[in-house]
Amino acid sequence: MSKALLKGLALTLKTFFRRPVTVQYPDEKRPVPERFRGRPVLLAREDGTPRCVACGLCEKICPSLCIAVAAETGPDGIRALAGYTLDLNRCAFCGLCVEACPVEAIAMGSEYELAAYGREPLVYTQERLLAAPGRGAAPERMGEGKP
Amino acid sequence: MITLKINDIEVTVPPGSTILEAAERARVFIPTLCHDKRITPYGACRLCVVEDRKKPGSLIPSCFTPARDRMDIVTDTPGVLEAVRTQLQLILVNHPLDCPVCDKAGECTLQDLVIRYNIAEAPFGTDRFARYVDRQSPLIERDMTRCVLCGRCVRICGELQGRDELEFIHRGHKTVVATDGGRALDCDFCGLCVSTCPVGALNDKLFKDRSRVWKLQKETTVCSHCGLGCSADFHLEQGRLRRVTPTVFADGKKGLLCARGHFGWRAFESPSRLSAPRLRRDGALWQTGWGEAIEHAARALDGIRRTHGATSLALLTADHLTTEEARVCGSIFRDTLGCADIGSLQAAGYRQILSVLGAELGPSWEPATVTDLSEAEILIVLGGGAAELHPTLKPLVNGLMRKGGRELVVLSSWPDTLTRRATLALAITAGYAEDFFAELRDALSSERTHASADVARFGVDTCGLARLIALLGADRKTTVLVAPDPFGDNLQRARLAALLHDRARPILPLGAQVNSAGALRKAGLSSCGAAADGLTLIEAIEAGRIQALYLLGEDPLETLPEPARVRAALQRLDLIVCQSPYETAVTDLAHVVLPSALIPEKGGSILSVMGFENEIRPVLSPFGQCRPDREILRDLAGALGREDTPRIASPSVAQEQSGPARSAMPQDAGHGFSFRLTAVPSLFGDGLLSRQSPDLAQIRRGLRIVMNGEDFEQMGLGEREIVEVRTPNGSARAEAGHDAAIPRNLLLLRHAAGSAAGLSLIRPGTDVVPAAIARIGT
Repeated sequence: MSKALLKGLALTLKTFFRRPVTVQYPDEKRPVPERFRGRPVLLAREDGTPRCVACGLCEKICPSLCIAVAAETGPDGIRALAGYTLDLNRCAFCGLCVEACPVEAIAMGSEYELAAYGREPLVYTQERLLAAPGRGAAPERMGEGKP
Repeated sequence: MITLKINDIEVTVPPGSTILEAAERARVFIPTLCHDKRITPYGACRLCVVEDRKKPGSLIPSCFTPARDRMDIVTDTPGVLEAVRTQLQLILVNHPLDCPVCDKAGECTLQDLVIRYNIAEAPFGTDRFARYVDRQSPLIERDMTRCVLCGRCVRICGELQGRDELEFIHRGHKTVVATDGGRALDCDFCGLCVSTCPVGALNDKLFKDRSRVWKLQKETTVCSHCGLGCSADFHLEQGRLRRVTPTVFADGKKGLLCARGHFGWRAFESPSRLSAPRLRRDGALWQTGWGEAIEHAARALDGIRRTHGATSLALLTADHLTTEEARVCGSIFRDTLGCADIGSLQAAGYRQILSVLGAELGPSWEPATVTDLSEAEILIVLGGGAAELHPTLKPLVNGLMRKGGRELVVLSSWPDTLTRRATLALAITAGYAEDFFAELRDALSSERTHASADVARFGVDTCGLARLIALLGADRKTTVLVAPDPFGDNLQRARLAALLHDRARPILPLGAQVNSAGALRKAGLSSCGAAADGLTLIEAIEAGRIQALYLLGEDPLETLPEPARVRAALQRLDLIVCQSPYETAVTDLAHVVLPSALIPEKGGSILSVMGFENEIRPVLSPFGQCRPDREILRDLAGALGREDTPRIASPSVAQEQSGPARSAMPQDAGHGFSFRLTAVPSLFGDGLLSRQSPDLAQIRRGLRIVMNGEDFEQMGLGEREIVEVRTPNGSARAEAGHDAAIPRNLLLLRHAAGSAAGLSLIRPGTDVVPAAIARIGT
């Protein structure tokens, strides 16, 4: 009996002086893997405008019907994005929208802290979905929805 | 009959069929890009190639090669497939792959074929020729970069619409489809070119970048802009109308639509739609509830009927009621209220012609059908403006004339669109059309020989007249179309038509609103009393006989000449009930305003002028608090019942056959009035619905005056210059245009309906008034 106790204490003592493996979330965060499927982000051109041409293929392919694309005629007379809404309440993070996109305007981001105090903050509009130019899947902090 | 094999499937087709038609019967797919069943085969795209086993190695374009007996056609040999694939790759050399921003994506023939034949590589990668995009034209955008030069738009514009607005410009690699000189489109805007384009080169601007084709739900219904009853496909995105296209029928053939049908749909969501009932209190209109508005209307109607008698009530209908609603309406107004003055302003001509035909030919009379029209060897049009009243008649007649050996006779006092196509166009001096029809009828009925001195008065070519008489006597299938004059009388042309009907000619009266035919022929809501004619109605109001006016979508202020006089007359009335979908000029004078639903919002039976009965169901949700007319009328009947209205048997009303006295030409001509002005129907619609469309208004460009080219030059006017038009009745500003076919000193006034200034130029009861033009600032 005492042998077993000593064995246990030895293990405790051994790990007592080791660095802990627990990541102190949310004070600490692990980097996400390269192909992680976090919240979808809209990618921007160099000038900060969305790359999206409003073709609506992501909306068509989305299995959970969470995307709504609104189009308008742009100043050059060509179809342009008027509004992009992605309802995270419904999103299944499947990444089919990224595969369907013909112009690489949408990517799976690395953000995963998506909890909110209601359904409305989870309906993402174009402004909140749009990533800064050149920062494709960079993580973002969401400020909305916190008390 | 011809029997041949397509991919070893034996089919029998009538002689003259193409291999493509035989393949369709055998249910074998043959790719096509330049083929449209509405127009003649062309063989431009070379995608429809097939092989005959008896002549191996030679590729036959199936769309215009006639099928021959005992042919053995194969469509899937390696040679054929290779040819199709190469041809598609060649087409793609000059076609941008901008499908994500192209509105055709999803219904593009080229896209479908490229996917079907699995074209993944582009071996002929050359530099694309820089082509332009025409964004200047109203309603239609032409993106020449996407054009594959199949020629469908060029052919449909020339063959069916007869406009030849689009043509191939330049040669070889530089070929584009364009207008002469590359100007913006200025045509009928029938939209047939948009409907036939297999790629995204011709776009409907109302649909462009609004939606995607795969989001749309298609509902087949009937166009409600005129009484022809063209079948139209309404494309809805989550209940909202996005575009209207011609119906694709079961055999794959597309139908026909005109500018109104194609581009007039935004009238359904026009800002002038009435959304809630209104009631006049203390001189102003206030929004109110349905119950109160209907109660009030019933009480007021009953009060006026009790104090002034049943003859003090008149009903005007724009004929946008379904047959069922017209029946209810007849039973309330004629049977319960004893109203003896019922009529329509917009369909007055049609109603007059139909009542004359009904009186002369008896109740068993039936109008001409589509078959009568398509099988006619001789088409006779009495009166001008047939294709303006019903624009789809133009491609129908053009399609008919293309078959060859047919005669189109147009008897008109102004050069309308059908005159240009006519094999025999008899021009009658403006103002004398009715007299000429009366004279012709006399001549035909009594077999008396005509003195040529009489004919000179009408300005009719004697040789042409002789030919007309010969054609009338010919033993060939003849159909007679009767086009009413918008402001003149139509009695004589109707009587002439009745005479011709006795000689076994099918008659087709024109000028109907959406369900005029149903209201008259099915529901029996025919015109009677003073309201049968706008002028007599105003006279009856001025005489104090009529005290109350019930308006079903009709607006006397926007449809009758002399709006000032009409306004004064309407202000005398004790009660105006305005049951209309739109807020128009008369709404301001109304005492009760009841917003009603439009045809696509309510559904029911609609009878077309050619006697085709359509059962339509509601495809749009009602606008605001609008309710279908049947519900409003039902509630009104209920409220009248509570008022304990004694039922009055329908009074026997003597049909006023003669109408008001009309003069061919007023005597006060002269005094600086060197022109004669006649108001003609608009191609873009004069009806209640067409007037409310912002897009049709854009192509109408307001009031227009068209004159002879030499007159135009003599006055030194510029293209589209705004001029001042003066008649003894009033003056107005209008855009001037010219047309070589118009006789000297004649002015055609277009788009008068809905324009107070335009209507003030015309005199009621006559179709021609003296006029003068002056340049503004001189």
